[in-house]
Amino acid sequence: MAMHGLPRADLLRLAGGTGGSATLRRLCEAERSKHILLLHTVIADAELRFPEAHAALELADAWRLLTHLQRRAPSIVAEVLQMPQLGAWAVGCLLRMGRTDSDSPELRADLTQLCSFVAVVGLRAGVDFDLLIASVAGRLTLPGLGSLSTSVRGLVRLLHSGGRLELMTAAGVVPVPVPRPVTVATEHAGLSFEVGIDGSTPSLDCFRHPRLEAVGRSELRQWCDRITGAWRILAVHHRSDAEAISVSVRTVVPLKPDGFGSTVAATSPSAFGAIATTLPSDDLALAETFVHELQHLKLCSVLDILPLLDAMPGALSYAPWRDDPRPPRALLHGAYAYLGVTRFWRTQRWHMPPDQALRGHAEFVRRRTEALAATEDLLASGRLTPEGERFVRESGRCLRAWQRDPVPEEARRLGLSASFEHRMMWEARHVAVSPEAVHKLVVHWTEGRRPTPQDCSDAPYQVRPAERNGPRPRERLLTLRYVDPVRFRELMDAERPGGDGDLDLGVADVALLRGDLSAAAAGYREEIRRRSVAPEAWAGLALAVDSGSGPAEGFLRRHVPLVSALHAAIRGIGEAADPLELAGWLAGGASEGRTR
Amino acid sequence: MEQPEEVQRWILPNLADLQLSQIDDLPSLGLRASVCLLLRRLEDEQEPLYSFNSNI
Repeated sequence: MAMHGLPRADLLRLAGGTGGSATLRRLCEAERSKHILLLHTVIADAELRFPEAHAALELADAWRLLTHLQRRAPSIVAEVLQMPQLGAWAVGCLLRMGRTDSDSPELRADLTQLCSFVAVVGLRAGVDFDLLIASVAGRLTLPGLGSLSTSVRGLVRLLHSGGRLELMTAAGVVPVPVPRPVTVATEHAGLSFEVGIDGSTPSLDCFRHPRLEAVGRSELRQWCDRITGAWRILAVHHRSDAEAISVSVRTVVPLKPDGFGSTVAATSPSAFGAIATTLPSDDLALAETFVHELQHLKLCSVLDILPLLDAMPGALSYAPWRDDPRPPRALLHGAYAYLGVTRFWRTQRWHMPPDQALRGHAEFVRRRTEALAATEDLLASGRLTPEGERFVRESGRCLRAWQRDPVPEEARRLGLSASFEHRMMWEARHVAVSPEAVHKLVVHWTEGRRPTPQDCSDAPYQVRPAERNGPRPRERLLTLRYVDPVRFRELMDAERPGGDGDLDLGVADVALLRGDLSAAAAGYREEIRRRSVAPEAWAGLALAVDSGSGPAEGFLRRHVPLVSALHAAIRGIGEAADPLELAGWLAGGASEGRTR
Repeated sequence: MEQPEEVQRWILPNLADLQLSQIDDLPSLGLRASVCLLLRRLEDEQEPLYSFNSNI
């Protein structure tokens, strides 16, 4: 049996974050194979395990019709077999079948979705059919085309004959209109893009974020304008990504706004070709979202044909784009997505209007730093297969080359400080230093002894798993400083005494965001003195102190979890210590070790 | 001297251009093994791949 593979040159291009239309066509073919394999397994498993349902739903007839249609209209069948709706349904259906031994109306409704895909082929090819499809909540879905309303519950016979579509009910045969797909078609700089907007196909409800199921006329106009605008940016400045998108992205799943003005976007390994997203605030944000999600889609497909990670779960670690600890697979996906995003900003920053140039440069410097760090963590994880290691090394090689690209100083400072704050906050929240190591340091401290270098720098730690939180006000504002400096200043002005600001910031945060670092550091030290658990204050203090001003400050910025754990332990025995005093004491021990 | 081709573990059978009517002629155990591998991985990966772009 022949297997899918990728020429080495394609794999290297993909590892570097590119891969144009020819490479993407290979990935699309692999996804079609995956869908055929899954579809056939649904039929075979249904026949083997639920023979009565298989017979009652006429699944064998539906499969036979599909094989017939493939001879009549091979390109239409190929397109439908590649639909993300089909992949998501087949994966979900097989997993659900695997969890039950009993035939049920839900199982039957699930299985008849196979017939709805065959009906879509029949309608598109203009071929007559007679298929049983389940109506769910008064709707009968034809994936990618739309849905039909019906008062009939359960199974409905759908007939297509001589161009007419009819539903057979107890009351007789009812003609129904053929649903028309909602699509956006655009063309720019000689490159076209056609994508369906699908918020209603049940299988695409796999993104764990509410969908915009009914897209009204005015909303559709907004989506159309936004996609057209994003396409202009991509077709002109990001040609390779645009070509890849035009080949592989078939469906946009509109998501409901999240209420915070953020763009929420997602992909699923089961739904190759679909990008789910809220409507971004501007064309540029959607262009970036498309590039980001394209990276996920490409990597999902590569992982379908070549294992890059072993099957072990792997240790949780820091991912610069998430506030919760992540396993190696998620880190690989994030690093790869941000490799693409870095490439996007590397070019895009030179095409920004003057008032947004800062944003472009800051995004570039921030993302290149974060993606490289994640790539290096992956290489050290021990979870990559030999092919995975080669893949990630190539990604790292590109990112390392981009570290030399010049970036204006202000953009560097703002981009990297937002990145550093995120890392410090993560460490303060999730890194737990071994209690034995902390206890040893407490003993040294109370007895007035100097710690050893091993006590200071090699204290064992572990990562605490945690749920994801939403973005924090300080984090959002540090990003807003370069994304929209005018809005940032407006918000900060409102935070002045007597202003109408409501950003939920502490006094130290306000000082930090205004650039008054010494006031911020004093404020965070005071906060740490007052509260026993204060990860925000520790992260803020690390950001506010100048790493070049002394060994205490430098040590604190490198070892927030250790200094904060020691501080808490000393507090626990009824004593008090200043955070920087402690950091200086630890730094003394560490530096003594280095001079020996 | 030419380097030997490195071993790469391709895991997905190529059915892209197969006539669907011929799929039952393929070795069923091989197909089943591929599906099991695929489903085991996809079941572990049911969490969607999210991205958030924060604007205030």
